[in-house]
Amino acid sequence: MSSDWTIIEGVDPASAAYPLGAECDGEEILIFRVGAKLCGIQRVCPHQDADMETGKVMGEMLKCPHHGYIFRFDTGKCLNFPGVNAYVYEVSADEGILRIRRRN
Amino acid sequence: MAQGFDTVIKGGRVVDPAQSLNTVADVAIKDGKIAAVGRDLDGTGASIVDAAGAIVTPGLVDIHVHVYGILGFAYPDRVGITQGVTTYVEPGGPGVATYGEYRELTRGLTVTNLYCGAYIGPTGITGLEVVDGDVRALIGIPINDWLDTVEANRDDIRYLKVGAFSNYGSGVVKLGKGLAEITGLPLYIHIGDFMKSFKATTTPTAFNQAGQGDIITHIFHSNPGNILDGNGRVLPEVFDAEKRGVLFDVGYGAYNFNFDVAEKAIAQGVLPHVISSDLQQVNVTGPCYSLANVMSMFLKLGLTPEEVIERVTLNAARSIGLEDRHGTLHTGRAADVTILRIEDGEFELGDTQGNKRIGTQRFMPVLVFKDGHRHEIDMETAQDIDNWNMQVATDHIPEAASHLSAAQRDFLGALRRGIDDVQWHAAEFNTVYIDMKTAMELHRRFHAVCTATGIPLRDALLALMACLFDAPFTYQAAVAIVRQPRDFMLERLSAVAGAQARAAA
Repeated sequence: MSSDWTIIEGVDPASAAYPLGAECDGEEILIFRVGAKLCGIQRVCPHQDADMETGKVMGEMLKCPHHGYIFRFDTGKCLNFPGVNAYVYEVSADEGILRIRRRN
Repeated sequence: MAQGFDTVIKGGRVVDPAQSLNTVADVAIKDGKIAAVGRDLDGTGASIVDAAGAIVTPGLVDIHVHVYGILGFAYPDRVGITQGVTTYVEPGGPGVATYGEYRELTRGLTVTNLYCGAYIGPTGITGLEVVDGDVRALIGIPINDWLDTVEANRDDIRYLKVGAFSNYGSGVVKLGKGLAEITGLPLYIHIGDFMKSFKATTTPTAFNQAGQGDIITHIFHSNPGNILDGNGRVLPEVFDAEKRGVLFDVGYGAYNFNFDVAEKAIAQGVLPHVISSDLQQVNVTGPCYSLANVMSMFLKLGLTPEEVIERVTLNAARSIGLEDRHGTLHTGRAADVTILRIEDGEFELGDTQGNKRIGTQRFMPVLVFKDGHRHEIDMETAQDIDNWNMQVATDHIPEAASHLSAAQRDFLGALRRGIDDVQWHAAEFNTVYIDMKTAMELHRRFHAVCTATGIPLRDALLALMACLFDAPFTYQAAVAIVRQPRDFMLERLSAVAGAQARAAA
């Protein structure tokens, strides 16, 4: 259930520092640099609401710094505890404009 | 005269606290046993290992490693022998109802010696937010089953585990203590709570209930229910418990070790008797990584290498009543030997809250022997995703299912029919919530079908696991079933069972 693209104003995706905090559809999200891509995920861990800003990017996944739950950026599914799901976001930096929309 | 040793480990510093040994010496192995420890042993004809500059210790013992169930690993030797640990204890994966399943699925699974700590709940540890501190999830405590199971498996079951958090006051800890006394097992108490759903932790009660030989784990956690009061002073119950002979265990875990708590407690004289990792799929990719990493943190906290080694050999073995079998290089014992180097440098050490310390020394296992057999060390392979990524193969049938016997497929077909009238609701494989009442009904059905079809339990369990997992995870049967969407589970059983019918046609 993808939503419409949300434009993040006033940010140059090329020079921004990541992870970058943003808001999409009223949800606080974090945008991480994952290799050559940008990937978005909800800021608070769905397990215990911990801030995932200092989470560790592992390949195409993010590990919550609090209890170690690992989420896939593409599906939001938690790998080590199936059934726990995070909202994840597609991120576009085309033409120097940062756009995000929810993937799941 | 040549002694005819199989292997001689030459020139290392032998640290064996059980024998008060801390000296440069050789360790000789013959027929899987320690044959001699001494200077200049004759290695003629033996395989020689040069351990100069390294420390030679009894095989490391970790009393808290999740091998089975939701927290377990597909390849649990990777957090055992492969990291230099020769003996470990499963801390609560099975309960009294699932102990038989656990034994069958873990039989021959690991080179590492595996012992069991049984959980007070009937299925063992099932998950997270849920039930483990909820007295309703205990579903009655079948005293007869406990007595019979422990009596028949006393050699394997080393402690009874209970959590000191609850929605019902401190009653669960007291039930645990009562059951431990009835069964004659040490009580292994998890203190602290990370789960939202519980009203209270019961840490002071845990310390008050514990007696000589009982073990408190997660001693240095910083969650609600830790051992410090609001002013950073260690609770008096902790000192009282230690005087009574209660043992303190680190159980580093995924959220249960905090440098600030450890530093404050150690400054006030509280030292752990045992250092354990609580390795599980959540922490193996950091910040725990390995028992050796946790050991290194205690060098930073001011313990000497010998004091650290004592806590992962003699003290660990003694805490689980196995000091006559593990934790020493005494002549005649099984030749479980770990060779470690102490590396100098600057090493970042992290606690489970993300706080860092820089250590100047760390332990690094370099070689290990189990029953006299040499095994290479690989500290990284435990982190490989296939070891911890427990995904249900929803979009394909695992390859292992194609190797099932006719009897196993027949069993799956019978299981499909045998649970047809049981209703449950799961939207997807969900490890957070569990319908324990239905799980217990499915447990009863699974074993009834097993008995009716005459299939060995191990074959039945492996058949079920082959329906669900690509990697060889081990899991409580009924818990695995109840966590699947019902339609998916029934269809999968039919599909795998039906492959037999098609093959035969």
